[in-house]
Amino acid sequence: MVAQVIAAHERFLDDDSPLVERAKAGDMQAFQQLFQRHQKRVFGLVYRLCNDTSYAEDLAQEVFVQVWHKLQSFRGESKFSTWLHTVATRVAIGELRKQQRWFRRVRLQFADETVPEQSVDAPADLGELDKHIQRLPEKTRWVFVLHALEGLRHDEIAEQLNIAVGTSKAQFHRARGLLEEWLSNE
Amino acid sequence: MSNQQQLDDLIAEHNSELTPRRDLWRGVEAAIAHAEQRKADSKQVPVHRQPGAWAIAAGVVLAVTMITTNIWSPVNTEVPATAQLVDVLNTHQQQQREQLLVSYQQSSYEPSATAEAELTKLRDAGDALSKALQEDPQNQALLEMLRWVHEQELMLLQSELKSETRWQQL
Repeated sequence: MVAQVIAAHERFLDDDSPLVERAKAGDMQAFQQLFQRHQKRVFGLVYRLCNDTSYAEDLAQEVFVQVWHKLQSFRGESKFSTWLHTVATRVAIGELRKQQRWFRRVRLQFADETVPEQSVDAPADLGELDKHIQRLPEKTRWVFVLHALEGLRHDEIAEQLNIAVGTSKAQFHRARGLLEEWLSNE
Repeated sequence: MSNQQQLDDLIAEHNSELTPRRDLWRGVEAAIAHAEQRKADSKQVPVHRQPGAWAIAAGVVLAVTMITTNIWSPVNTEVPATAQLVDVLNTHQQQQREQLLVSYQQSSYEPSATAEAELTKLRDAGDALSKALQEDPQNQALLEMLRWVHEQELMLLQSELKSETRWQQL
């Protein structure tokens, strides 16, 4: 009952609802408005997950294409933005995993646990924290971004990344440790 | 201020929005339109009676022309990957490879065992990616990787040829 009341309240507060309804009816202009409202947030999320501007742009496009196709399945039980971010995370993680499998199969260099180099084509509006996040090892970065920045709980992250809840917590702890260490060296 | 507090402050001040460098909407719109068109095509209206058929054909010809003239770049593409595009990429690669191999033959050069092994690996990777793209033709990441593998192969061939030419000049 409480959950239903909260959901109804969220729907009431969701500014996107009218546009979502129009987009569900096939109105592309409404969908474009939703895109304009949320593209920077979605791009920010997928960029932080993949650490590559061009790839993040492709992924963000893929997210919105999938959102368009899945729109009919959005029943408004949560805010549109919450649902959108779940789709974005799933698309990004799914694509990154596919890419990883291929890198491994073609035996190109891909060391999962190495600290990546700073991206040279990073977005102009990266914050100070982002510059440190970019240096985190990939899976550690995923967990940190999803938990600290996107506000997902460890059990939600564990489900999305197909890892144990304890692993998610350990990776987050590791991320914090590395970030604090780098901050202290500044 | 402790590092812990400093990190907490940075997280609290963090702006989750970032600005992409290019206009993403055009690609989204094109991909949706393409998917809708495919859905409509699957309803099996005879091709010559479909109002959009000529437009699609023209679009495919344009994409193919752009690829063969090296104008098209997967990073900026708005056209979803298709099996035909993979075929065109592979044919184009084969032509480039043959041109380079003709140059090799003219200089009586044979690639070193190391270079040969690398080239084989890259060709195997290209074949594997092409097969994967047949199953998942919409996968832009795979298409981009195929193009990257092709580029690596040509770069390796070119660098081997340059190095051989230098040796011959000495």
